[in-house]
Amino acid sequence: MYRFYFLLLLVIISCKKDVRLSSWDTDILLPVAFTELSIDDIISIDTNLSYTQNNNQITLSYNYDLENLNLDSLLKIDARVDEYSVTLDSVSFSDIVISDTATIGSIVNQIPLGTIIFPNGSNTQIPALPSIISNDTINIDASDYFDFMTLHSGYLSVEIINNFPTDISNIDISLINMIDFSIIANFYFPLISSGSSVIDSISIAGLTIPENVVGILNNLDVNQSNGAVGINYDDALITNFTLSSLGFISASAIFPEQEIYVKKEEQIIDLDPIQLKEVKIKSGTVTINVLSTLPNGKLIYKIPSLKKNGISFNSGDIIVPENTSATPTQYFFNFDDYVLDLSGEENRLNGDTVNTIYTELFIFIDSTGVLETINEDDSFYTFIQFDIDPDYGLGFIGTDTINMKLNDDITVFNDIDIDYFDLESAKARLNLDNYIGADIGFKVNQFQTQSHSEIETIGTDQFGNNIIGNNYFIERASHIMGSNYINQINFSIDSECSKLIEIKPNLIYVDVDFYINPNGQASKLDFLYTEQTVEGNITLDVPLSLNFRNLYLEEEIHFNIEDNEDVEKVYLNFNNSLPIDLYLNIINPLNHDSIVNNQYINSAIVDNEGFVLESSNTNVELNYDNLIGTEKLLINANISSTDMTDDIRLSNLNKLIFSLSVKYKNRIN
Amino acid sequence: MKYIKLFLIFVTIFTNSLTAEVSTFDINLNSDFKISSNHLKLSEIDKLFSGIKLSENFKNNFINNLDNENKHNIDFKNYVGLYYQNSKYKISLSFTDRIYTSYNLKKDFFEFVFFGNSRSISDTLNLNSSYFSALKYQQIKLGSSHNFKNYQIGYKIGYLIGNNLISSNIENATLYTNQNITNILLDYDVSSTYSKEFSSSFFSGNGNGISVDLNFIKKTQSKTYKIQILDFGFIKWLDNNNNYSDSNFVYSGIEITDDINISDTNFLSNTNLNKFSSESNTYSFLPTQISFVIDSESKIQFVRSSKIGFNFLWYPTKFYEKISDIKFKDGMYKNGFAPQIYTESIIDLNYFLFSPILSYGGFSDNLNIGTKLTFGKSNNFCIGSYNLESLLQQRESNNVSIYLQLKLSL
Repeated sequence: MYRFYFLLLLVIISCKKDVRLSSWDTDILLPVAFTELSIDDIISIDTNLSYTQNNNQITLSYNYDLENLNLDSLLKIDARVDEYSVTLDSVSFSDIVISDTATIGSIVNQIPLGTIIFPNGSNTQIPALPSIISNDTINIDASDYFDFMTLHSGYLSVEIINNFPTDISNIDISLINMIDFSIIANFYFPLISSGSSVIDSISIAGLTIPENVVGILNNLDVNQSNGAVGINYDDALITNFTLSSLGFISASAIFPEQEIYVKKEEQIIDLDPIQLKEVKIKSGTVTINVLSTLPNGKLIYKIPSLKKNGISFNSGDIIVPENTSATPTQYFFNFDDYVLDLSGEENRLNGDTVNTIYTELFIFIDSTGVLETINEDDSFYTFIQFDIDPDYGLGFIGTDTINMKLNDDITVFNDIDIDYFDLESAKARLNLDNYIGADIGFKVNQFQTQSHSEIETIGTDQFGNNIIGNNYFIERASHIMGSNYINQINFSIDSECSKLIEIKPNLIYVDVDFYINPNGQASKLDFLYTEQTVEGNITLDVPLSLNFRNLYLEEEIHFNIEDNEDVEKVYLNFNNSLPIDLYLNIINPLNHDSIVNNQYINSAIVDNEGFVLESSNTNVELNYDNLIGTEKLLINANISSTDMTDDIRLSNLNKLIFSLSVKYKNRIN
Repeated sequence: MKYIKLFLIFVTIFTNSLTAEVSTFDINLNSDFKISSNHLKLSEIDKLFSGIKLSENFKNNFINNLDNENKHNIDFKNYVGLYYQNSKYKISLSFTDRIYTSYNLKKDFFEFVFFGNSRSISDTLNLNSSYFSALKYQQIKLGSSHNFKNYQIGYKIGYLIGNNLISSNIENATLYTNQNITNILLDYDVSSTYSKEFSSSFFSGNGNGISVDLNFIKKTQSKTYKIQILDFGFIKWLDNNNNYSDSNFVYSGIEITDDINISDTNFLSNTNLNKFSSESNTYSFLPTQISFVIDSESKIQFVRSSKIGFNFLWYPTKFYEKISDIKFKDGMYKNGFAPQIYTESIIDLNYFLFSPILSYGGFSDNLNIGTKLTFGKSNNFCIGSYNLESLLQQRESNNVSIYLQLKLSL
């Protein structure tokens, strides 16, 4: 585009041979940077500080949240219940019956020409046959039931059923231990009529019965029949050997599954003086501890009192291994979000109670299908451990005393040094919200602020009471059963506290005792949600209506100015809408050069009531060369409120704006 | 080449169509160069384009000599025309090459250019309603005029070939620097266009257009009254780049939180920046001259005639993306051309004609004294200037012009 115009201008400029746009310097005044100091900067010093504004007046608030009163321990359930020890001497064993059958046919076969004389199906008179059976061996094989048994109780009985068509007599049976060949028992039956049975038993307590016992039929006479009788070779003499009521000292056997112990009972948990009817579990476990010497133990544990979504707790079959050490085997069950009914068994006699769980414990010998050896010393020891942190509890939560302390730093005065500081007023408020369904009493033991040299203590409350040592009362909260909504009760104490602030404290200390149910148990049920108990805060409200002298502030800022030869001048401007007199020094800390020396910054113009009417401007011109290469600057200020007698009032509109601008030389072309 | 052939064909046909009636056939060659300004002197132009570093003294004097509105115009026309005239009508064919530049800039514009805002603390630099444009085009006109008793009505239709357009229109622009140099307030609404490819050759166009000339003459016994509209037309540019900026912002510098770093880039607060470009159609209008002339025969010896004329310029200083966006008032005031009045007399000095010209108005605030000298009768040569005062003022003159005409009668 320039070519077009330049060609044209060739004519204009008298055919000049050399046409070039000339150059010139232009001065540009440019703002570079600014910062503001206002109440927002003051409150950022300390995270506990905030402010509100009302009618152009700022009120600073120093706020401390009190820790939520920790009452978890009131509802904590850490209990050991259902402690039982079961030994095997109480175990019963099923009766063992072993049968032997001797048919007429087998006896006839023993008689020479017996089958001719006494053919099957014939009617024949049977003659007397004395000692027709003698020294006959009957194998009594109990290997399907046991290997051996040493018994402390039990009976061995012999039953003989005579299905012969004729009487038998002089039956003599001996039972022999095939291990040591000792006689276990002798039985004699003088007469057993045809079609009848006899039985005899002996105690076998103290005996060891092996799996193999031989019965010797020493003698059996067949009496003459009464006339001709039918001969049926299948008619038999049945001998039943029965072991019953066995109580063993030790045994090696294939044991059937059998319940060896049942306990259904209420367990009382010691929470005294707290009386709980119900808790909801926030987090918790039940640990079943088992120490079993049985090779085949099993247990089932039920807690009907413990339900989630209407379903009560059932551990299911727990197969317990044989312990090899004295350390119990543990089984853990998580009960988060369960509700534990502590009012005892359902439909209990005498109505509901408190702090009581209803449980059911079942212990079994499990059937493994293989030989197991157990003895009377074998035992099954169990106890149940409850470790529960409740979400809420319902009942009577006791009359505990809980102490709360607040010991916190106040940092806003840390970096400032001030000769005189007077507040028109300040208010301290202790604000409490009671979320507990129980009456709360509290007493303030101490409420003070401290500086390096002074201590100031809180005075009277809004009712004229001395706060320290006064007993206060907060009514119980209410809530709707089944919902998490709590209608809390608020209580607050106010007190004038300007003296606590005027000492420029660096510490606040508060000590409060809280009393649960100071008047004892009420007719209403207490409730307690552990996440929301008593919430509170302490607020110090300071309306910024104050008078101060010689407040010294010092700040080091990092300042990076590159060498820029186009910059001619640097200007500082202070737009002050704070009602303060300010003397400012800016120093280069590296070489201690004074860049700004005790510069007076004009205060804002205030009215008779201390409110700012108009801001003021102060301009300072600096030589740019003094700033080149500066990395940091030390700024210190001596500040006083503008009127020495009346208080000044600050709002969030009052601020000190510090601006930096430059005169910049721009070369055109 | 094809235009030359067209011209020869026309001449051939035209001369063949000549009747035995008394008629004239003229060829006119004109070159008309004008620089008009109400502020910019030739010496200042010299300094600005000499490649030197301008002194503070120069800058101060330059600014002090400015008016609130500062105008400048360069109009360079080269013209070839063929005329056939008989008692009844006149036919013409002409070719013109024209360079037309103008600007109307506020004093504050130059204040900002030379001094920045250093002398404008607590003051607003106002650049509102300023413009700059530079236009180059060729024009082929075919016209006719007809005589009716005492009247003559004439018209010409022109075909335009646009070579280049650079135009910048500042609708409003203000710059305020506050007292403490803590805030700069800038508000501007600027549109500009330029041809993407610079073209200096004839017939190599970046756009095309049409134009119309109208004139109406009434003759009485001793006077002739003429109303003329010259070069009412527009060019549609084919490949221009249009830029629009409509912004207002307050610049306060960087807000410091912890560290200050002056080498950081600027941070704008309260910024409302709207800037966009488009490559859509661009229409610009020609500077249209509207004239009223009263020409009187003179009874004074040697004085053939005297005329008094009024010239107005209708010239929209901005460009349009739709032709329907044009408003009549856009061409009325902003271009900087004040209505011009002039007088011209023709004095017959036997061997030549001497025409003194006085004019006032236009782009100049001065009274301009010009003259033309015409040598010859039917074939004549004319040389003149509208600004003879520039010979006296020399480099201090704002205005320069030269007029050459060669007329041949066949």
